[in-house]
Amino acid sequence: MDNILESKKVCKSYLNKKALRGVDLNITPGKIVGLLGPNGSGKTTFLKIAAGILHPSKGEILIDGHIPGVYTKSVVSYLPDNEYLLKWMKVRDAVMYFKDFYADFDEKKANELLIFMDLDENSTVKSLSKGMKEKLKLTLVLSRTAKLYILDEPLGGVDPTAREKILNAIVNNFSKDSSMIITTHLVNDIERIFDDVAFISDGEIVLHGNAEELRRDKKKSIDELYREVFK
Amino acid sequence: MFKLIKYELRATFLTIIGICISVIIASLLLMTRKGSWNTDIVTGLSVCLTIGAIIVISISSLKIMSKYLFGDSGYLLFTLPQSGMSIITSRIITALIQISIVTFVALLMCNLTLAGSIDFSYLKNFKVSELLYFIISYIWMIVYSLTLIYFCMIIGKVALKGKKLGKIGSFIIFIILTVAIGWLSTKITTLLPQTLNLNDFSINTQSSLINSNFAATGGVLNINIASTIFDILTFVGLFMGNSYLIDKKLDLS
Repeated sequence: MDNILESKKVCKSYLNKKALRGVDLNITPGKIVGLLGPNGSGKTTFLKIAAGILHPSKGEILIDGHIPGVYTKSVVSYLPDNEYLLKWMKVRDAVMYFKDFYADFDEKKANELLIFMDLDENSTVKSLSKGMKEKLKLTLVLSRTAKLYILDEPLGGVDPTAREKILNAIVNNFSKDSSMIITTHLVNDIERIFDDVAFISDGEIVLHGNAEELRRDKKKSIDELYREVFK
Repeated sequence: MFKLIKYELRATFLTIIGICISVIIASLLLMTRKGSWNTDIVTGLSVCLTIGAIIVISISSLKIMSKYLFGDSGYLLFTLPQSGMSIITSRIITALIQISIVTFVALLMCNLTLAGSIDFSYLKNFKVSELLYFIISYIWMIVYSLTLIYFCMIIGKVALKGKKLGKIGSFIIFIILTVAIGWLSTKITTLLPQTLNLNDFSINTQSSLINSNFAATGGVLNINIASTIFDILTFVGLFMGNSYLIDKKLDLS
């Protein structure tokens, strides 16, 4: 089966710091992969490279067989961990923005998700709380029929009730033809949805495998394993 | 690309309206002072108002690009399936529209303040070709300047990753590049002084137009051929450079 994401020895260096030190990671269609690691381990850097907004210093990353660019941006649905929506926008403007730019955007699905997330389409983006903004971003990202979903800390700053709702939205809207890569610190909350996990430390993948096999072999939950690897 | 322009204009709609309304109110206030203040003061203030409005809208449109490069909103723009060329073209066209709207309103109000009525009869003194030449020159000046400034901003961001360093670096690069291009243009004009008369397309080999790539004197429109070619080539280089840097080199922090 062709990999939807293929990363070969990807390195990213800044002036005096190496953020990634040769990351090898392949993701096949239909998989939800958890990319887990502490702060500064290189998770976000890797996701930004896959999303096409950072360029690797060395190595190569291919999305659906293509180097990140215009094509890959049309098949990747990326949720960054910042507030990137424009302040003047209302919720419905944000939906229309995505509809205008992404051919795979499903407006009907977006409207269903807005209702599910209790979001009023007449609200302005700047009036939304952090959790509501996170829900809106997720609504926009999940309303696309993308080949690869990249979610960077989708549960960041969200209360436990909303977390459950967001996780349900992710699971219910995930198609088996797509793949998803998620980073999070809240491993315990989210580990149930992972098919595979990759532990990243200091810019390197230190453990990678099927989530269920890892649980069985190590006789530990992914959360316990995470605490052991990064203690 | 046109969708990008649509959203860019929506984003700055209130800024444009705000500047236009401010210019109109300030001009109306100036008109009420016409009898009591010295005419020179009213004229000076009206001209300052026009120039000020154009500067404010120009800075405002540059700040939008700066926000895309250094702020979070870049994550929205640069993850769209749009090429660097499409992004830079939409930014230039949007800024041109914004600046033109404000320039038009400001000049209109300046005319109204100074002449007491909106009078375009003086335009009859110009030939259609001359008006066309001035419009093209105006568009060229804005498009060229924006392309140069965007290039400096993008290369500053690419070369110096930090926000503060990137912005200062962009400014320094802008000064160096402007001086270098100006110096080269002057040298070229001195070495190759041949000019093209746009009225009859005749070539003048006399170096009467000192260090200028165009001039409009006594109804005669002259452009320095070599300098104009240099400007066009510089523009193409900067434009392609912008597109390439966005596609291949730009890293968002």
